[in-house]
Amino acid sequence: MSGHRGTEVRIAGFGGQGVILSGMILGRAVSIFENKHATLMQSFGPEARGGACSAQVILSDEKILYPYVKAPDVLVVMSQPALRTYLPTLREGGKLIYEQDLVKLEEGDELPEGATCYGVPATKIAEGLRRRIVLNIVMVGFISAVAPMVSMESARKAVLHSVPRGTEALNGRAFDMGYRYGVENYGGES
Amino acid sequence: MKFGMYQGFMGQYPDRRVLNNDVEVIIRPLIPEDEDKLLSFYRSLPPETRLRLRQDNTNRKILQRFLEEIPLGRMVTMGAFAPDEETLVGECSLRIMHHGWARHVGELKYSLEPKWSPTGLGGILIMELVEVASSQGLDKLVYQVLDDQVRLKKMLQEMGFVQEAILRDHATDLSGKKHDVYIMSNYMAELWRKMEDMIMYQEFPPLP
Repeated sequence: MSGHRGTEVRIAGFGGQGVILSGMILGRAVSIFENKHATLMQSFGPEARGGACSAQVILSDEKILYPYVKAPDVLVVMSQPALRTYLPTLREGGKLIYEQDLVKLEEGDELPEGATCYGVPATKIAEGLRRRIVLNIVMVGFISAVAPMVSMESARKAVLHSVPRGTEALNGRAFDMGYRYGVENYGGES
Repeated sequence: MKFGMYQGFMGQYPDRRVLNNDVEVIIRPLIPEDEDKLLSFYRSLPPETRLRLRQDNTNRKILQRFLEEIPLGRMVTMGAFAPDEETLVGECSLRIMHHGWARHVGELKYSLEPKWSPTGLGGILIMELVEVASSQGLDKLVYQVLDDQVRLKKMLQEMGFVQEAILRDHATDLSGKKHDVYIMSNYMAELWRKMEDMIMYQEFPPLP
């Protein structure tokens, strides 16, 4: 997506939403299951639970020399403040992925030229599974459908290898539901 | 639906699920009126599967007693139907005591036509009831596995069950052979607390 630097991804939201775990799963999918390169940088505000939290992930075929994301190809936001903070950084032609019940695109939220938007009711899907905590895994499934940076199989495997033992089955289902929502509503990769 | 315990989750069913072999099945809670379908299902099981049934549900009277537990609120039974929506191919039951010192504990068991085994349907049925159990406020689930049910034991472990005890020569199958019984337990609340703790630790690591 962004030439020799690989693909830059920023995932942002509130602390406690599983933002870092989402980034870790994407990185793990690329580095362990596709034998490529990935970096993850994380940042969080000084606030306690509920504060701002963001993961910067770079995925590349080549070694990554600079791990910070400046202009993401894919921006995933799970809170309104995260949209406000990071939307101006989205690269032209990039993809904005958002949790549609937590984030509202408003007048004045200008998308860069050629950028596309993908909304998913990840919280509702997770609540349908009776575990709100799998919201981030629904998001990873959705990302895999609308902005595939790794194969769906690698992403799913990375999910199952990243969650506590015994929670694999439900997390796998959360991933599948997010993925299916992406395919059914956006036809998968656009 | 007149059964109290079913009311909390009935709205989600029937639910369609696509299995590993791309076949779609219909999942829904079973009620006493499903007696004939259940009876046909149990009678269609091959002898080697029937040997391991906890009770002989191929006998209509025994099956009726089993089904009486549903309106009493002591049991939830989830059935999986083939695409024709009529043929039952698997069932999973959750028994709840509601009183006594084990009122926070549920017991699971399931039966499946062997040809559906590789499709992941067993896991789907069990997971469905794990979630029902969680929504009913149960803290712990147990499953009694016979010593030669190796695949079942592995599947349960993948779903968070741990081996808690072995009861020697505790079960006699329908052929008269004795088996050790493994008590597999799932401490549901603890399991999901681990995921929450993991997320909190990643997002709010302790200060150096």
